[in-house]
Amino acid sequence: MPEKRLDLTTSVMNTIRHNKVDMRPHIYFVVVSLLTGAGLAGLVAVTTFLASLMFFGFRMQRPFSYLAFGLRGVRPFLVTMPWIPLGLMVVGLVGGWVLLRRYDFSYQKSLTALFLGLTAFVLTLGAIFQVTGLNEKLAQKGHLNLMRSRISVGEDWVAGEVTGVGDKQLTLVTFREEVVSVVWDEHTHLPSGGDFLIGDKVQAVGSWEGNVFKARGLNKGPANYSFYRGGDHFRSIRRTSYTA
Amino acid sequence: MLHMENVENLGDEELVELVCFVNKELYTEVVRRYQTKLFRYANYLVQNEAKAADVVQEAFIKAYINLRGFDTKRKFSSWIYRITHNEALNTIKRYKKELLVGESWWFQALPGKEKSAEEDFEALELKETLTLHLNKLAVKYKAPLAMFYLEDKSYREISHILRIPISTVGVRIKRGKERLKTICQKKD
Repeated sequence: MPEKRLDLTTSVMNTIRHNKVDMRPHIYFVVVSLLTGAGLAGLVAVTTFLASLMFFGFRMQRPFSYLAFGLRGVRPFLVTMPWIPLGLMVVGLVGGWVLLRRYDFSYQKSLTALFLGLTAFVLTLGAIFQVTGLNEKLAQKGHLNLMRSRISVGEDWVAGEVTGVGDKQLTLVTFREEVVSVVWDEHTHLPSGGDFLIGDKVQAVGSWEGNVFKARGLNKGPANYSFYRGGDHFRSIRRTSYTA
Repeated sequence: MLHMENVENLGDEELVELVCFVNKELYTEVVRRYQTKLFRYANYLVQNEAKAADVVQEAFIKAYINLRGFDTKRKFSSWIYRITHNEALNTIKRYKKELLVGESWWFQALPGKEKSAEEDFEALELKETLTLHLNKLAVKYKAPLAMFYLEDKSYREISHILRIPISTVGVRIKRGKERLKTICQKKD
């Protein structure tokens, strides 16, 4: 059977002529291309910033350390995880990936590789910002209020810096400058041992008995662990409050 | 003044430049050059002549609207096939139920490259198998198989049209053939 011939020339040209279909001007494509580029660059910048905020949250709150306490640590872990930057970062990554797919080169790569590449790029850059202490530096200049977003006291957990050590008793100052008394006994789970020094950053799970926190689990950060990398600004605030 | 003979000798990309900047009416020549090929390809996908004709008409209109966005350093045929492919996919989504049963008379007498008698026979056999069972394959396999075996497109061109890596084109053609084989075996 012969191949069927189709003549669309008249109908296509008539539609173009009578419906006044016109070509989009060249400038339209230039503008779309510029906007896509700017959108992608902006999205990557914002997502990188969110990644650095997320890493900042990890360093300040150490949510994963609560998991050392087992089931008791799940709630503080969930509360202290930086969910908002994490969620927004994922949205940003998906948005960036969608924009990247509009580029001609993108289809030569696998979509998974493209997404993983973008994620690795954003996380690496975010980690670099975090290590250099950019967040804290911005906070010092008043552009960010990172400390306010930190949570350090919950119904069954507390975190802070040791300012006083007694017999099975610690005095902590939390991120929000609250002074808390923590006691423990022989049944308390101590993953990092019971040797605490002034300046240690500790996390505890347990229960409140009046104004005293009775720890069922008590853990301290690594020896060289530091909350701050952006300068002495926060330290000076904290020192002032201890004296007061 | 451009004569029709001169226009016919122009490459696609040169012709597109003329349509964009000299005479819009020359788009007739673009339509004339591609309508049969695109109709055939659209029909492979939608398996319905009337819908395939609509797909191609819509693809030509969309291509015309966006013609100044086409980079003439690239291949026009890949670009127009890409538009047609997307349009066909939209039609398949829109008329899913209606397009389940298809006609396939137009698979006969398809153009082919010059080959030896044996190769010709094998190619014809494969084309016939494709003709019979193409509509049973998912679009994912149907599109690269149709382009490679029935439209004589290279892997690179298929990669540009479907916007997938060349390696994926190879994998889909291989898997498509395997599935086709399974379908044929079940029939036997």
